[in-house]
Amino acid sequence: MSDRPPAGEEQRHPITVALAGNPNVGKSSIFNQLTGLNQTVGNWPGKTVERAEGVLVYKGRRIKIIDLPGIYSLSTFSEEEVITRDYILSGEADVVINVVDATALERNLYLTLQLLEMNAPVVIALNMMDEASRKGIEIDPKGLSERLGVPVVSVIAISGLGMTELMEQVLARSALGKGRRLLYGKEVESYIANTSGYLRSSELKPPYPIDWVAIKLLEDDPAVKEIFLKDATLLRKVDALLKSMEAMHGEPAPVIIASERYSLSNRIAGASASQRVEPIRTVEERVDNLLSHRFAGYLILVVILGILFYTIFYFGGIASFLIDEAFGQLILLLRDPLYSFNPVFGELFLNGVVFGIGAATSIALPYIATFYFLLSVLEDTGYLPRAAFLLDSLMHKIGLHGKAFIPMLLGYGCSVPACIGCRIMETKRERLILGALVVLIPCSARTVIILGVAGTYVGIWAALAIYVLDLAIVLAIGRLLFKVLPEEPVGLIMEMPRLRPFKVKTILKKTWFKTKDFVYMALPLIVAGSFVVALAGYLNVINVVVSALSPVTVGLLGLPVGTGIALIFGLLRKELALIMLATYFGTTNFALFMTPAQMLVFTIVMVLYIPCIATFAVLIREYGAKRALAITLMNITLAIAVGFVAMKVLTLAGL
Amino acid sequence: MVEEALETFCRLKTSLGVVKRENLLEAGVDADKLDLLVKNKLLEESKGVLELTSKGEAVLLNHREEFLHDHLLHRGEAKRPPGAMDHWMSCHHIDRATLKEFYDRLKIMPYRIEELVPLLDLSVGRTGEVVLVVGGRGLIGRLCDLGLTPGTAVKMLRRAPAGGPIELEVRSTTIAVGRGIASKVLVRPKIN
Repeated sequence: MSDRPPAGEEQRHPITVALAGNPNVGKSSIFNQLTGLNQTVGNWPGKTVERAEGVLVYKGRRIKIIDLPGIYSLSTFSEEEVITRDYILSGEADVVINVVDATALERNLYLTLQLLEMNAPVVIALNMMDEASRKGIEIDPKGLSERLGVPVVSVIAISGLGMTELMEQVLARSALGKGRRLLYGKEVESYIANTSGYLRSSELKPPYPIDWVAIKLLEDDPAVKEIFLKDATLLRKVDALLKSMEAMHGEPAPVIIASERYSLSNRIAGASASQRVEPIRTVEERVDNLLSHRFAGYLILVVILGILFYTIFYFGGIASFLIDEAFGQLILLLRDPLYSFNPVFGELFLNGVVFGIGAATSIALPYIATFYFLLSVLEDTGYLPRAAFLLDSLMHKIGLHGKAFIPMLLGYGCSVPACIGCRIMETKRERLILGALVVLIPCSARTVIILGVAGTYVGIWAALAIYVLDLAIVLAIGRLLFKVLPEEPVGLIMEMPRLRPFKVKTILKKTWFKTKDFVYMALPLIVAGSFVVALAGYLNVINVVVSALSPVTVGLLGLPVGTGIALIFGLLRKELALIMLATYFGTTNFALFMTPAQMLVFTIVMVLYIPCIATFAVLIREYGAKRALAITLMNITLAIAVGFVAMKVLTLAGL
Repeated sequence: MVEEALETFCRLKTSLGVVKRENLLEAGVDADKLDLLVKNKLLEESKGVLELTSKGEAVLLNHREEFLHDHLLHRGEAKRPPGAMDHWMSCHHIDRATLKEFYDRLKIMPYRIEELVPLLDLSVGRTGEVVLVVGGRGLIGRLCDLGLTPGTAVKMLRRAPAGGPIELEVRSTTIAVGRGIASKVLVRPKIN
């Protein structure tokens, strides 16, 4: 929806627009509709929260759009809330588009009221009107707009309906300056007025709307109270007000203010929406009951995960083979001309760069893309929260709650997004435990090793057994960490989105975005890794490294000395380890130099022993160098210990 | 039970304002028990109007604490050592000391304590009204943000198997809440 700026219009200053709203209301869909492919995704400075930014040109105006994190409130319980609050207060946004889910108007307006308390210049994008009318809810956008005192635009984010009208309102709103808050009940308003009075006579003048500061002080907000640490008189006076308010209501002050907002949003939502007929929910309810049934629910979960993994292995395997073949042909084709040009360059370029790109695509496209496709289906239908709901009690055994299942599932695709996905946990402790666990889950690259070694030469049951063993180890380590880090575990509080059919187009788009992220992140590292390997091969330093590792490989694990190469290069790229191994021994038939028992031990060690370099980089970013190192050391120790035990057990079993 | 009679008195006091001897008798408290209450200086009677004495208040509060304690404590998972207690959304069950923090709110609660049940115990399909959340600031705040403020109607939709979480309908949204948290939210079931 961008058009070229007419001449002479570019001089006008660009507009900054922020998107704010609850989670799962279609904020990202609107962001994608508006910015298309013009977006950059990074982190908020110093925070582990994603920041997405994009640009569009509308009627000759450059409009910068910032997608704020999805939140329910503007208190300071989570990093996401702090970021949104600070951003709105900074006044950087000329307009704040508040995306509101029409099917849950009352809950969504709770955040709207808080945005208005900060005098944010709000324009409401009323999304999911189609779903609301399917539920028998009729909303009057004009009435809603009058009651809230802000423009309201009906949109359907998925299809892009209403985007032009939305941008019209944004342009109009951007010229008008700050917004105004709505008034609450008389009694609470008198407390707010008293507090504002005290604030006006205070020496300290924070650059925020005075009523907002007053409300936050009455809410006993720690961050705002800190601003007035130097004004003890003010804090004492406010505290007295707060105490009298609490005595009057018999509730803690934050609860009084929250109730006040909810009673206003209830009134506004009630006056602006009407329930035409009782919604027909029986089919959805029945499906939902089935999905969380004590037997059927788990059965469905197992079947869905079974289908997921089978599809990945089956299609991934075929596609991976075809891509490998294609790149093999390409290398053969390039070999002669490049070698005759310059043998050293030819060797490094072919085995380093071309081979690396080939290996990256043969993993990325088949396994990762298939995984993300199926994951997006589970995500968009709303199944993932149902699975988290079913697995909550299991996750409590390892000190986590049901939501932890989602990053764990991600781990079977790639450890990098899985580590980032640990952000959905509420506390640092939970994130750390989960981070230490997800790196132990076999990602697609490790799947290649499991299938390629244990699966091919020992049997598919051996491969499955390794999966089960790995899961058992993950649960055991989780249990152990839970015991070692004794703190009150956090309970589950999670919104359950409605079940709905998925749209293939949206799924494909999501798959593309996620796969693209993987390729951008992994490709340079993979190519660099392949290049180092090719260089090491050329300089003949491999033997030195391999023999240096022999105390572990031969001494402890009883493996052939050459497997050391896999351990070293597995750090750079896990699936490259196999190719290196094949090159070292001069054959792709691993049965020629390893017994079945050795292959099992080798596979187990490769699966557990170290996160790849890309994962390590993300661990540092998410947890800091010290913790990333601790997790890595834990992995190495664990891999050697489990490998050693497996070797002893398999030898005793006479394999 | 002396305490139940006191609870009845409290309920009448909030609904009527002034409680007389005959109101209590109508509400099913028998005359002997009433005399006993007055004799033991739990209630005092002047000009036919009954008032709670400070001793009576103490007995009542103790009863309420006792009740909450029995209903909320030692359920589900085993207690963990206090140590580095993080009330931030903790899902574990509370102890007596934590309950004391809710003293003031218990004092003016306008219901008979026996009317309340933990959200966890609400049967599927039934609706209740949120009365009290016994928990740390973080937990209470999070639940409020999602719409579970006092007085809000919540409907129990389903329970996860194997001691898992529960699913609720609140303000036309659906929310899953862990078992530990659900046992700390006290609701008054609606009669229907």
